[in-house]
Amino acid sequence: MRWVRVALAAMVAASAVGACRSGPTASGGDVVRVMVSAPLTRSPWVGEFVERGARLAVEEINAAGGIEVGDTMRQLELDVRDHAGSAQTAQAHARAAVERGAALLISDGVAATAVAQVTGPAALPTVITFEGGTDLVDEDARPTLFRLAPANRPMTMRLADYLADKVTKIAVLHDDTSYGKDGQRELRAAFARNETAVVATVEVPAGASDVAPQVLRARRSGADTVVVWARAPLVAAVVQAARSSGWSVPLYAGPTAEDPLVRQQLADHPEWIEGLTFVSFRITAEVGPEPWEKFRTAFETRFGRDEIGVTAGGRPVVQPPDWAMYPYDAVYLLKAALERSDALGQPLVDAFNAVFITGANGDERSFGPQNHEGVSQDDMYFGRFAGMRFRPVDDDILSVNLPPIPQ
Amino acid sequence: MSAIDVAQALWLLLAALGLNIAVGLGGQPILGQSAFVALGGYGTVLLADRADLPLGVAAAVAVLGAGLLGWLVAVGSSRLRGAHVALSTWALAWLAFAVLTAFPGLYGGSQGLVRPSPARLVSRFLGVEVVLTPLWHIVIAGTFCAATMVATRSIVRGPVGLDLAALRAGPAAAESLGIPGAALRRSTLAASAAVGALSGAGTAVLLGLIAPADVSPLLSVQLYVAVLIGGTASVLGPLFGVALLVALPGIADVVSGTADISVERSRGVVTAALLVVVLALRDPVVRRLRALLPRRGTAEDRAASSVPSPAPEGDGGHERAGSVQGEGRVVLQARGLRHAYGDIVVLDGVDLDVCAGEVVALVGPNGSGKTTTLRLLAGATPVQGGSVLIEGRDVTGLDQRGRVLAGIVRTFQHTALFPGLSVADHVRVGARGTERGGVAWRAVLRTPSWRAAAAHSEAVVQSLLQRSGLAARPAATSEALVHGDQRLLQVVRAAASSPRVVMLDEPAAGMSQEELGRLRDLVLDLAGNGAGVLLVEHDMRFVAAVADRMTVLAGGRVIATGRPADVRTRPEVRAAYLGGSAQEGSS
Repeated sequence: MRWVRVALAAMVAASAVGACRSGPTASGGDVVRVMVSAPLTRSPWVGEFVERGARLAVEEINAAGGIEVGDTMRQLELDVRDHAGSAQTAQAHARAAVERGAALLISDGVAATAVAQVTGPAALPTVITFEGGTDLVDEDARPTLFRLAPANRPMTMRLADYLADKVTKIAVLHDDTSYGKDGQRELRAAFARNETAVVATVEVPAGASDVAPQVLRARRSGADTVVVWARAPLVAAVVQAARSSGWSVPLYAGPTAEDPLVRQQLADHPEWIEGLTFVSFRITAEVGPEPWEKFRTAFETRFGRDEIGVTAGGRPVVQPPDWAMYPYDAVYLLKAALERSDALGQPLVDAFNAVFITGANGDERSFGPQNHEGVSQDDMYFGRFAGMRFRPVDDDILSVNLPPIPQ
Repeated sequence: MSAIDVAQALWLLLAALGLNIAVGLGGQPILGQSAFVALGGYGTVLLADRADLPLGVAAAVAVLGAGLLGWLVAVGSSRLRGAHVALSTWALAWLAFAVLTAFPGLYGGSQGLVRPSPARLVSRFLGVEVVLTPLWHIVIAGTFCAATMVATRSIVRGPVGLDLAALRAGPAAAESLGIPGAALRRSTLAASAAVGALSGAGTAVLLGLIAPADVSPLLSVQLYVAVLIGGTASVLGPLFGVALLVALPGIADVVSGTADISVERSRGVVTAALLVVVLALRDPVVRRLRALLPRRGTAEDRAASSVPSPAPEGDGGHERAGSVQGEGRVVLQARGLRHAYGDIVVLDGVDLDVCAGEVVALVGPNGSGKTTTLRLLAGATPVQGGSVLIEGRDVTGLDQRGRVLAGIVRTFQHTALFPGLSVADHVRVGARGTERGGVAWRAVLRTPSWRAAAAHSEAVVQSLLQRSGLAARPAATSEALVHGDQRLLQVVRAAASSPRVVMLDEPAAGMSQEELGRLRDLVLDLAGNGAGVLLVEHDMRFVAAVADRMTVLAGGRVIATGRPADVRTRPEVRAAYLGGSAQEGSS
């Protein structure tokens, strides 16, 4: 029986230690807590931009005195957690955010539906800043879930429109992740709407290192254009397989083509990436590049320049912190909403549906009761690689006037 | 920790407790528990939400399905051992994960499958509706954990636990004694899988969520490590392991904070480092703790606590009889035994008879087929030609377990004991060989019939220990015995099932004169109690001292049989085998 007692004592002690984990303790109402739940160890590029964008905004707001809630100025407190791609961990973070009285949960979007099941009843605003899954945002079913990131549907529709009068036969290659499959569905729907012929739809395992057979299949289908909708490693693999086999077909991709990983994997053959075109959100807005440059300067001053390890023209290539704008803007939206509502919970959610801010790049950011998508179809543009750097294309009306971003 | 965190930890503990059944009890390095957890979780959610089954029914079907899958995996991997089992079950974990990620439309992809939480259990029959709040989950998961621990403890301390301990320590020896190794491995893996699936179902219902990333092969590793940390031989082991796994990230945060490094990025590395430290320190710490605590029950305690008092002296049926019961009746009959390894014929039409109360020596030069004969008779090697009869019953088609139940048992040429088991437990394992199925349940329920059988069996064990001279150290482990006593213990262990025929393969090898005397007495004692003894032995003096008849094999054929004194003088025998040693042995 002593063994049993020792065991129970150990369990209680271990549980107590476990209970003490995870960052700062819940405090009174003096601070406004922002929780970030991101794949810091699973997808560092995504995790870093989510964390850093939020951190920069928190530090700026705190340096300016904080958020005015009622008659009191309150400081923001950032609580960053790594869910490592685990849906259950992401959901646990949402529970922790609710228990600790957080004002905002910023997520990359993993398990967004399950997270909303937790944050919904607690009226905790939750902002997705990466995942573009079509069905995630549902204003009626998940009223506390917002998205500040390009959704798959408007991106694929823009891509289909862009290609409509340029190509005749398209092959779609996608990976077997939910991102790839969701994108493939949306692409097919968009091309069907435009009556563009899709002559091959090829699924590729996400972990495949050699995709030559799948690329060959696409080539034999007679396609004159290939669209790749997949995670970054597979985009690189498709480019490599196509170009190394001498196939000079035009290649188009989703926003993952911008991931530095693609260029890192093609560093030995920079000529292969030439002309790769991708659809994403525009980095600068109609007001010009000044707001973006101001944000970028602040970001790089705080965290340093993100040199991705490849060179072009003898100079290192730098990744612009474009995706970090979304978590950054999410925190500023919280500031505006909380200053309007003066209270957490449902008043804050209501305020999220009512306020607008000028975002990091000068675009207006806002939501409405029936619109929780923060990035519209008009915000999409097309980037094209030249010499390991990308710039807006010159044959799309919404892209042609956008300035190239120094990289 | 919130109530939901506690409930989730308890469901995780249940998965580890389930794994401990296969790893700790069954001795199988299973690295596929995540597949069973996934089956339980996804099965429950899909059956409840898409097939509209009641939640409880859906969970029950998923758990049964996982149990069946576990059973099939055990059947499929029945010829594998050790690392091969680990690799094959690891492949199962990956296969399950690949299937889950390949069909995001069905399994939810990175978003997972989401269902309403808290769930509601509705019984129209009872008119009851229960909302499964986290507190309910704590009660339910806690009850399942406690029940699993109690059941595991009962099994460990009961006769099946002894079988499993023997199987872990020496699979071949255990199966030669009639322990149903394959069946036990199937049962433990099926139980392990079912409990794992229950854990998956509980977690999915608790969180209202299940996603591929949460049932990835990494979960298998975590659960295996949890079992490993706590100690595979311990019922409470998984409790320590899971508690540590739950606590380690928190400790890692403290370490990272103290070292002033990024908590978020260092947690994984520091947790892994702490895990290595825990694994390295586990054994020394456990040894010190055990030194501080009172010793656990010995074999004698087990005997005293698990069975009623031994039956009165003489009731065990093993006392030396004045006249041998059934003497002269043929108990073992082999006819035309033939066996070949490819083109090489090692046995070619061997006939053999052993009568009750008779010691028959089977001798011959090396390679003459003696051990193969014993293997064929014991059912360890399938019979290619010929027949084997026990007391007139044809047992040719039976496996080892069937032969032991029919009354024939053997010892090994080499010393094959069960390291870690006591002398008395070795003999108890031997006595278990002829017990029929259903013992596990009867032992857990301690039914009157089981108590009576256990009392009789224990009486036989104690009697054999006394008669063999091994009763002085019944609690000693077999490794602590001298070589001669280890060889004797093999014989006693085989004899414990009160067989019709005992086959001894070179039992006298390496024995001193004093030990040979004890062995001789024991062999004669067995024969005196009515058993037929088939003895393979090179020590001709020992053979002469105990054998009633001698059969000589050469080149896979019987070249002579009869009284030892007569056989040894035959020229063909001397030419084939005995040669100079015959004179030496008979001098």
